Amino acid sequence: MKKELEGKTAIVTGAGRLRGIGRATAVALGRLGANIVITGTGRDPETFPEDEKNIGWNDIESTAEQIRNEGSLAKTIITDITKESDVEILIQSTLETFDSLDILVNNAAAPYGEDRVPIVEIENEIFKKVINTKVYGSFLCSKLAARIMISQNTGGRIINLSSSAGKEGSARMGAYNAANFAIEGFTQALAKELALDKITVNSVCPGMTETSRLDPIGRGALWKSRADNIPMGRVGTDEEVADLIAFLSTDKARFITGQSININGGSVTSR
Amino acid sequence: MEKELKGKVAIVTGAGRLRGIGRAAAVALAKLGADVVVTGTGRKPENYPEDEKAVGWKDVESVADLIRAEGSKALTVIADVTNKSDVKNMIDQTIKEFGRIDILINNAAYARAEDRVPILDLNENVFQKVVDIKLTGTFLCTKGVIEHMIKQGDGGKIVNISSSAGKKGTANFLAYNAGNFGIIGMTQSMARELGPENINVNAVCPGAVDTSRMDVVRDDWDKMAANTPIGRNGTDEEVGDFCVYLCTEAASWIHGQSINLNGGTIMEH
Repeated sequence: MKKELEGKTAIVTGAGRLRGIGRATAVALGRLGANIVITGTGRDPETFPEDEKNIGWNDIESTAEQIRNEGSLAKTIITDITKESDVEILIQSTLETFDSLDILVNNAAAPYGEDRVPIVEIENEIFKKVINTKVYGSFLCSKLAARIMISQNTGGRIINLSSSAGKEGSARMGAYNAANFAIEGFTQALAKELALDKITVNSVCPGMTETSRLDPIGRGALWKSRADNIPMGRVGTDEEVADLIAFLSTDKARFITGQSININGGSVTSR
Repeated sequence: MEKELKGKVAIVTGAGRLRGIGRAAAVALAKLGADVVVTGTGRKPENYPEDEKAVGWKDVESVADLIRAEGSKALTVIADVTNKSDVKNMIDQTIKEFGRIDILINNAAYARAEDRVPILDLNENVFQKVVDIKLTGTFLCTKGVIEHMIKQGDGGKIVNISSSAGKKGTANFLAYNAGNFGIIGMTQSMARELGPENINVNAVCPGAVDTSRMDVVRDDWDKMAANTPIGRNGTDEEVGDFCVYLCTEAASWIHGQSINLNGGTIMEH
């Protein structure tokens, strides 16, 4: 039986972590038969978390291996998605290698950390970096990818990663809230603009997910108390989020556009 | 490879129409290997739409045939979901036939027509009927089913059919708005209660979908399609497929949500 995404090509940005939504998404799309292009910023191996170091993890190259193990083709490109010339190269090399571009998953984000302070204390450059990576980066990738999708005239999928933080503001999350709320506005506008080209645009808004991004908050009492507050009584996995993104990427999801879908075990339901 | 829902038992209420979300969801469940119980109210054959008459459609019995054609078992039950003893009978029969219940899709709704009038013209019995089937029906079916899911101890999936009308009020939609907003509130409440039991509860909110329910608005059909960003209305299968995605193991972290499926007409949460 033909796999659901056979013959399609997907770009997933920010897919170099071992425990991460980007990696899980790239592998899930690969499992459905798509060719996958993954980007990373070329993280310094010295900054890798212990579990990555222990197994000899090699950033996006290791993700590419996982995709190839699923029987799909993978290509890696170090990209700063906030630089137009980098994004142009990303799109061009995707087309040179795979001839089409059908799915874009805007997953890249600035790392969790110095932005988690009160707004009156946040460094201006940190605030700008969070917004720049998430919003400007998603804009650049979407703009160039959508142009290709429109010219191919075979539809397409753009899936943006937002967050529960895109639905509800929290103390010490000002920059991240701003960026994720913006993603949802951007999703709605782009969905309306691209609808007649059969390109659907949606956001996925995960709650607390077990990824290395959240390592700064540890796995102790704070982690446990937050997990206990989720109606399902647990945090999510990168694979669960990836699976929803994969569903939205399939033909079956062609009537879903402009939505920002929560996947959070029930923690945020009213927005 | 074993089918994803092999060994699971599902109930889909309001699944007797040829063109309908209930039928589409029931068949999509069967495609993934679930055994399916379908309910209907026992519509009178003389009220069937022309296309059903033309193909010799037999309400839930025909849906059961479609389920069996996918290699799954099917059971039909005539049930008024607002009637407690009918719901009890539906559940008893399901348990007797299949021994368990894993999935419930609350799809039954009052037929569209006489409720689409201004409040001053809205008959109280019609209002009550719309709200009762949607809310009391969903409440009774869910209450009856979760007893078994909790006893079984391995979770479950409940999908409630709401609508774009559950997100946004519209003139002449009073009863239907009330019913569908209500579904979303119930979904959130049930999700908070049932999360610890690993029972996922979500709502699906379709926009204009090509079903026989919409035959009364065919004069406006093309205009509705043109007003949809993607330029068309939806199909029952598109909605059915998404309901069934929510019933898979992979979707277990989607919980308490009311998800729009509408070609972009409404993006409000």
